Amino acid sequence: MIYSLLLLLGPGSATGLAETVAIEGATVWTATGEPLEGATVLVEDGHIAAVGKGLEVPEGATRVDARGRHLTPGFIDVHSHMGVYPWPQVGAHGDGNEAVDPVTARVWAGDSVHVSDPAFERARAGGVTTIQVLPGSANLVGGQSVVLKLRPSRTLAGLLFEEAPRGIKMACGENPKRVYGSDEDGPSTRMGNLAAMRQAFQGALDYRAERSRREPPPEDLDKEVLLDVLDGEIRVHVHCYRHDDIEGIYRVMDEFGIQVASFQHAIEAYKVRDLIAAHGTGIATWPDWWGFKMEAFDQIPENAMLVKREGVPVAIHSDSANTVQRLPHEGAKLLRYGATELEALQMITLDPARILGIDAHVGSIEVGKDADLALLSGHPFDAYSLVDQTWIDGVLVYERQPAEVSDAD
Amino acid sequence: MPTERWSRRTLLGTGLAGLGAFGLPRPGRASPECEGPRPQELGLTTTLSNATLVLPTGQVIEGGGIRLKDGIIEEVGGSVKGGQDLGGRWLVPGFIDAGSQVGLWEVGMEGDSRDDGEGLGSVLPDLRVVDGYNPCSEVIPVTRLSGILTTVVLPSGGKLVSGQAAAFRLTGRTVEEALLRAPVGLCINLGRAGQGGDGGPRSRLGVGLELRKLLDGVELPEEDAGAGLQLGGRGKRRRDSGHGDGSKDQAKPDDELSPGDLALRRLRRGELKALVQAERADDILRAAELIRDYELDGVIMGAAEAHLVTRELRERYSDIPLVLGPVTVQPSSFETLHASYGNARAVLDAGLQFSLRSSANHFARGLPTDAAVAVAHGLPWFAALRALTLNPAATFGLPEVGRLDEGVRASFFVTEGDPLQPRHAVHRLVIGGRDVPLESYQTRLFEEFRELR
Repeated sequence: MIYSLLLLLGPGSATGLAETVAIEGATVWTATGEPLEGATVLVEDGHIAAVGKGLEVPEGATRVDARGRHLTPGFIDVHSHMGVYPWPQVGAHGDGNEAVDPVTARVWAGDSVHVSDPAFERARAGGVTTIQVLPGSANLVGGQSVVLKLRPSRTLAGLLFEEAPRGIKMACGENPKRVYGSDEDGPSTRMGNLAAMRQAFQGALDYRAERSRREPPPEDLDKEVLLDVLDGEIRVHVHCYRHDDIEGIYRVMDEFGIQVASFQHAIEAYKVRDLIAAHGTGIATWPDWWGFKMEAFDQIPENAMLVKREGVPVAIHSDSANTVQRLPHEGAKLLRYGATELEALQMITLDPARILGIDAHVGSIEVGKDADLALLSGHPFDAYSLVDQTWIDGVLVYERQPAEVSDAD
Repeated sequence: MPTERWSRRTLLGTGLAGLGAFGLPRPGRASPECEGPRPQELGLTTTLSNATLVLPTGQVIEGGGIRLKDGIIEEVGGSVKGGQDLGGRWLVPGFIDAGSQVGLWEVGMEGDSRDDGEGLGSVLPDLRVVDGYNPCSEVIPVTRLSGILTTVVLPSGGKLVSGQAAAFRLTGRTVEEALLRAPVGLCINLGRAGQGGDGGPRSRLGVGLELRKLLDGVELPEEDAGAGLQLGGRGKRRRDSGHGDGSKDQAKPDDELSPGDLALRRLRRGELKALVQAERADDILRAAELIRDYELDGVIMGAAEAHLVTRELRERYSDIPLVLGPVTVQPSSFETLHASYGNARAVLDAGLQFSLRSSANHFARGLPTDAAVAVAHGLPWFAALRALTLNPAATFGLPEVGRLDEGVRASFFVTEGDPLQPRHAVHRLVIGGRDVPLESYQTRLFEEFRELR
């Protein structure tokens, strides 16, 4: 069923050919409240048409017997480098960091995405339906992100999450100063990082003024994009670990009136969570990664929970083509440190959707939203559960096959 | 502004010993292990009962218990009553990570904090991880809070012979206190891991060439020469070769050899285990062949693609144990294009003995969750548990850990439930017969910042 549909679809969006589907009898985790046991989710035209018990299933609908299983929104990863560092990881595949200049606002991650990265299939098998692919963190302004729906597709066009707002990746702290520290112009320090950011935004404003003159300077694609940032047309995602780096980013951004959509990694967000809440920023972080560099040393596994309880949207991100396959395990780790199941679920569904500005479309099981769903064999936070089916826009994009018989049998 | 208050407090904090311990939290500051009172010197005497008791031999006993005297297990099982009621919480033998780098480095990107390997040369048989293990590393308390109470520490690869591994208990203020056994084996690396180092091989061809040269060049005294001939088969080929008969007569006695040459001789004699790293299917069989041909006491490490060659391993090399891991190795490189979550299950089905390793340092604590991934993909639960307890204890010769038997010094943990489920917290740690506090750099940071002041 998966491939026959795709052949018909070609490169475009899958929604046009979605059938009417009834997923019946599952424990439905809507991500907006407590789970509904034994409920049915009705899908029409790629969208969720109804959720509840005892729904009437239209004639001709594809029926999925989901009794004893658990249905969640498709998982969303706001920090991925799949596609821009595709498998196998070889030099020829290093397309994630345009590390030629500290400011490369002009580049777009979509132009680097290897549409046939085999990691996409593994992520689908983990129930992941939407990812934001970001450029790396070598640059202060690394470039624009692309939000993808993980539909099987031969073209980038077929992967695009068309309604997603634009996003841009920025970075502070260790990475840019390490990458450019030996360059004549730097930056080589944290103060150099922030000074160069200020210079970039001020440069864009000056450029706008000059462009209105009689003899305008030639069009500068970096500055055009930075002006879009300054105009609030692009969501800003800043790679940032230390609490004082978070504060420093606010110093610069407040000066230019730029809203920060999210801090990515946000290892020490818990230390300044009041500041983050006051600014209306979200964070994306790991449950337990730490120690790989100095600015990642003060990670605590309660970080996500503490920040979420300030009212901040918190995404559990993977930053990894490996971990992305097991986002519910990442959520389960949070339970150990006091998060509720609803909080943990929201951190891999609804909160990432809010951070990306796509929560009107995805992130929860609610009528009218895209039918992006993960059907699990058991409780989502039971580490032995597996994803049985993944649906995007009402189309089955992954179905688990029985385990292969091993060579020894 | 809250941030101002915070920074003033930080300045104040650093000036006050004790109170200020968190003011400027940095590695290098003493870990909970290494400051404050030591865990009680004498072993623990106590009784814990009404536990869900996990015996890695294959039993889960509800309402079971354990009685300790001076840290030694006096009685364990369903008959132990009284003492502290654990209310059904699980009591589990401490897990063993069959390959990590815990204690060897503190911060990944900071070379000054790393002691996981040596840049010089490609053959370093006398490089020893005990020379770098830091019992005060902040990683140790974080790791043991996951139930991993013992770890086999491996030096970094990137060379043909990368040094001697050792096993540590994850407690103790000195290396001596922490050390369980050193060495537990000598690390030999096939595939990409065997390439690199000054003058080292740059391809599999070079790895094979250099390894044969190295092992054939080990001089064995006359009294060692017989064993291989008696065993016959392909084994004798190697025993018999080397530098010819003349060199055997002239072989130096052990006490005249350099430490490195002695390590290699002990390896050839089977007195020192060969921990042979191999991921790609063909490398796994090369490792097995190497172990058999040179009659080494060998273990195959990594073995990401073992599921492709289980038939060969079962039919010809069933006595060679494996250390698999990380379980979540991906088909992301040419070394591991066939990596599969079902690997452990396939190896079990072939009747091979295996342990699991994290291959990590700061993320070593994810090992139980990794094991759960293998279970989700078909590995029976008790097989996973054995791969974290009895099997590594047997493979590395660590009789005091990974089991709950009478007469053994106790190492176990108490948890909310199934210890492989990431949601279950650990509530008590007993390592080497002593209570160990549930504290780490991270728990202390949490306490510091759970309320913003």
